[in-house]
Order: sequence, then C-alpha cells, then structure tokens
Amino acid sequence: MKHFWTLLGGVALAATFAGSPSVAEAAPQCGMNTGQAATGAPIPIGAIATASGAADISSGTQGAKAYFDCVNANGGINGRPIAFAMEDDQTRPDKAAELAKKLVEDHKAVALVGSSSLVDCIATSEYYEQAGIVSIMAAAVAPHCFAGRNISMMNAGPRYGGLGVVKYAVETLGIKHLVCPQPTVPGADWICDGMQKFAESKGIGFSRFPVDQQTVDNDSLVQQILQTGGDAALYNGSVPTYVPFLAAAERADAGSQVKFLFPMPMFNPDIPKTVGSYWNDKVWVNLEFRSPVDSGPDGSNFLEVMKAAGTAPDALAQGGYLAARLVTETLLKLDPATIDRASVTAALEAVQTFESDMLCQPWAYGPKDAAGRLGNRSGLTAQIHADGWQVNEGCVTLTDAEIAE
Amino acid sequence: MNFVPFIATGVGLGAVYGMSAIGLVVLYRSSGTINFAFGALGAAAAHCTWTLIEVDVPVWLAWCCGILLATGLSFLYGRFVSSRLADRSQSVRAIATLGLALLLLGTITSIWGPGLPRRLSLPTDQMNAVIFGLKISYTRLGALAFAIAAMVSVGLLLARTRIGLAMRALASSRTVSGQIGIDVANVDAVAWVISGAFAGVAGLILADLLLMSPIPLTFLVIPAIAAAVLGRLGSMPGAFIGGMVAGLAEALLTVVPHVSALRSAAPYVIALLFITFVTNAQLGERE
Repeated sequence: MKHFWTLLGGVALAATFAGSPSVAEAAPQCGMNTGQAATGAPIPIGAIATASGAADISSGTQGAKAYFDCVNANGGINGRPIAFAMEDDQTRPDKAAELAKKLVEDHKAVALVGSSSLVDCIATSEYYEQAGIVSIMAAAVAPHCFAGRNISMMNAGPRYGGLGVVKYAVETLGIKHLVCPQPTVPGADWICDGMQKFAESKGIGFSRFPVDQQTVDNDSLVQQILQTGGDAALYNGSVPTYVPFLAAAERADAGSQVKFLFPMPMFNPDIPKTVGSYWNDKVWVNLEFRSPVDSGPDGSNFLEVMKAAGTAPDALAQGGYLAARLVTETLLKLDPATIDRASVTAALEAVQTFESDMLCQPWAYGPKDAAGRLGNRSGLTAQIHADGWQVNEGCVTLTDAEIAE
Repeated sequence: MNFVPFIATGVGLGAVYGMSAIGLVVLYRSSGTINFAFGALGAAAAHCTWTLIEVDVPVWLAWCCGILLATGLSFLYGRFVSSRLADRSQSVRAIATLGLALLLLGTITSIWGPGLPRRLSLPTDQMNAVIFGLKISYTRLGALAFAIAAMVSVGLLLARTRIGLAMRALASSRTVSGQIGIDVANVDAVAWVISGAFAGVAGLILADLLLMSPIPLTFLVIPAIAAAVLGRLGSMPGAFIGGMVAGLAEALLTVVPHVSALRSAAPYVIALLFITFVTNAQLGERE
C-alpha cells in the first residue's frame, strides 16, 4: 500500500503534457533580455478572461501575464514596462462589455492581448472595431470572435479545432458518417454547422441532434449516437463531462462501433489512465499547439516562463504566451515615444508571419478588415494509445468557407 | 427509433434518483428536515473513496471509509447544529442544510479541484444481465436492489422497532416527544446517522454510474427532492416510484424531438404537475 501521505506530499503542479520536461533549466528569454527592470512610462494593455461563473479558462490570460512580467523584468519595450490589466467577465456578456469599455476608456489600452473568454466578443466585437483596438486572444470560443474585424486569436476554437480532428478522421481514418451532438449552449449550433458543411463537401453522412447539457444521463446520449448509425462522433460537451461520457460509452461498448473525436481541452495527461485501456486507439483529439516538451527552443522557453511565474503550463497558457510574445516583438519594432493605439493596431494588422516551434504553421493576422479571421490555421492530432497520448505527425490545415484566406 | 435501450438507461437513472429520494424521506420522516446537503455528503464520500483507491487501499475498505465519512459528517451536523435549530421552522432547518452543502462543496472543491478527470468504477460496471430484452449492468441492478432493500429495512425499522416509533414521534412533535420521555438528542442522532449512511452509499453509486465531479454530485439532490415530492415526502415506496418515473421520463424524452434538449427538467415538471393536480384534487375531495 502506498503511503497516503506520500500522495499528499508528492502532488506537485503537473504540466498538462505527457512526460516530464527533459530540458536543462535555463533563464526565461523575453523581449530585450537585459536582465534589468523597465522603469519608463507604462504601455497599457488589457485582457478579459472568464475566471468565474460557468467555468475558469483564465489560464490563457495568466500565460500572457507571465510573459509580460518577464518582459518587464528584462527591459520592457525599449525601457517602457507593459501595464497589463486582467479583468474577469464572470461568464457574462454584459460584464465583458462593461470591462471592455473600462480597459479601452479608463485603462486606455493600446491593445487587448491574451484574452481567454467564453463570452468576450458577443457584445464587444463591434465596440472593438469602433474603438480602433485590436484584440489578439489567447483563447476565443464565441463565434462572434471569429467574425470580428478587429479580433484574431492564437487558438483554433471549438469549430475549427473540431474541423481539424474531423478532417483527420475523414482523410486518414476513413470515416463515412459523422455525428455531431449539439449541446444546448450558445454557439454549439455554429460548431455543428461547420461540421455539416465539411461532411457535405466530402460526401460523407452527417447527423446532428440537440443535447441537454444539464443532464447527467450520458447513457441515453450514447444510445442516441449509436442509433444514428454513424461511425464517428465529435463530442463538444464541457470538460468535466468527458470522462463520464466515455464511461457511459464504454458500458455500451460504443468504442467498437464509433470513433470518438474531441477538441483540444480533452488533451489532458490524466485522461488516458482515467478512462482506461478500453479507449486505446478509439479516441482522437485535435491539438492546436505542439507539446512544449519537445517542440523546440520556444516550447522550452514557454515552460521556463510559466515556471518562473508559477503559472500552469497548459494549452490555454500556450496561447497566452504566444499572443504576448507576438505583441512584444511587434511593439519592439515601433518608436517607443510614439506607441499609441493607432500605431499598435496598424502594426498588429500587418503581421502575416509569426513563427514558433509550438505552432504547426506560421500564424498570420489575416486580411485587414476581413469579416472572419483565423490566425492559427493548422494543428496536429493525438490519440489515446497504450494508456497514454500518441501525437500523430503531420499538420492538418484548416479551411472553412467563413474564414478569409 | 428503438426505445428499448432508453428504457434500460431510464431504469438505471431512476434507481439512483429513487435511492437518493428514499434517503431524503428517511430523514424527513424522522426529523421533519429536508436535507439539501444529501448530495454533498455523497460527494464527500465519493472523493474520499477515490483518493483511498488511488493510494491502493482495497476497494471494499475505501468504500467503507467513504460511507463512514458521510455518516460521521451527518452525525456531527445533526448532533451539534440541527439540534440547536430544532425549535425553528422547517424552512429554516432546510436552509441550514443548504449551508452545510455549500460548506462541503467548497471544501471538496478546494481539496480535489472542481472538475479534473476522475472516475470511480467497479468490476460490475462491465458485467451485464439481460432482463426482458433490456441489457442492464450489475452495478445498476445492485443500485436497484439496494434501493429496494433500504426501503424495506428502513420501513420495518420505523414501523416495528422502538427506535423507529421514537423517530416517528419526534417528527410529529419534538416537544411532546421529550415530555413523554423520548431521548430526543439520541433519536435525532440515529436519524442523521441513517441518512448520512444513505448519502454515502448513494454518493458512491452515483459517482460510479453517472459522474465523479463535486458540483454535479452535490446538486443531484435537487432531482432527488423532486422524486421525494412524488412520494409526498412521507412515503418511501412513493419516493422510489417517483424516482423511477423521473428517471424513465428523463431517458425516454431523449427520443422526443424539440423536448430532448430540455429532458433534465423532467423530474421537476413531473413534481410540479403532481403538486398542482394530484394534491389539489385531493384537497378538493376533502372539502
């Protein structure tokens, strides 16, 4: 019997990637790397995060803050520190609108960087356009974000991330009939709309039906999936429902008939062991970023920056780090004396190639004034294999009729 | 659409609702208190058991420890908090248990986190029996059997034993019970212990059959209350049948277009209709 206290004493903050970082510890590299704290006039930047309410996905914004803190400790933006203000929208669109106004008009932010929110953009995308401010989000979820003229994001989001794993399933696994259970939450219909269009373009069967997000009865949901006759299902439920959903599917032996596809939040190192060996080679998940453990120097630096800040290095934090690094490098090219909202907006809109070894392909802001933008257009796919995660090589490029090329 | 699988899932869901409803009725019949902390006690038991299994404590021992934890917490609340609210209204006593529920939920969440991937499972989860064409896992059959056994045994306790008589007297009038020599504190404690044990077992079975997450487990008390209402809060067979009806309705509504997206409301709608039409009809007959 393992000692109970060993468990309590040994629990440490775990990286959300399989395996331990196998890199030599090094000082984080951020911005100018002077090792001297910046003391000039602050550059105001803001972010809106969902840190309470329906969920807490604020680790994306925490990732951005960690990088900006590192920048400020290393000379800032040519001597000017970044004054980073992070606000909690409490999963309320009205609150997000109130906070957006606060950040733009009171904090006088020159840009919004690293927002990680379930509801930002719903009531704010038009406001951002009117205010002439760009938002480079760590994690965007609401469809309004992907249609916003002044918004771009590091993540692919539930629709495009889902498209990534579905595309893999069609082209590599050869699925013939996709099922899209549609939770009764705002935006879920938009996700299934994208899957339906893709399925029709590939000539494969498609089924969708509404799902009560509040029910605990996953067994009936699994039966409903089985009765559609589909051979693959994209599950868009909330993160706490992944394990009970797969437990219900295992009870029905659904894994022998249906391939289960998930968006990125499913990629958690504890999942394979928790759901059990039944799910080996039966579950696939989209990865919007490469694992920082073995991606390369930028991945290693991400881990060091998060470690220095005491921030969990999860996938959301990766998005925040990349957003902050992008904006930092853009600001460093500007005249520090003339940094304002207009100059920052113009500079960010001009970014068409931003590279990182954590990205499958370079990120691009996209066409200026496009009504629909996706900066991160590629990803990888992982599957549960041998009670762990196996990342399948080969970037999957995302395309969608609603996104500007 | 083949309805048979949904009957099977509905029976399973109804069994857990019914089992929880019986636990609520037990306490209500003996103390007049609706225990909103029933789900939270079960969640505490489930998380304790999960942790012990993770450190290789034998499963049977881990389950016992979880049930003991729920029982102990329920006893402590009954002995030191509920007893001090004995002279307050039913509403106050019920709301106080809501405070316990929130305290437990906050404690569980701070120790174990809000929704990290966890699973509580038994070998019987993958073993199935086919009854009248329905494929039902042994775990679900066990839950059904436990609910029925609990209903019978607690019914016999209340009807045929001195302590059961004292518990019913306490629910009827605490003051008079004390005046005729019933040890109110001890009898109350027994009621809370029994309810706590129920909560522990129900929590473990719910965590196995449904999900292992503190917030949903805590608030599964709400459909259980709806099922208990169908038993008029006083009848254990009624509560069990109410739970089965609620579970079957929620599962079968899966296949009804335009309604399936709202099927989790089925227990509450049924309880509301019951209160509105059946209770009112009976009031009318009495008049």
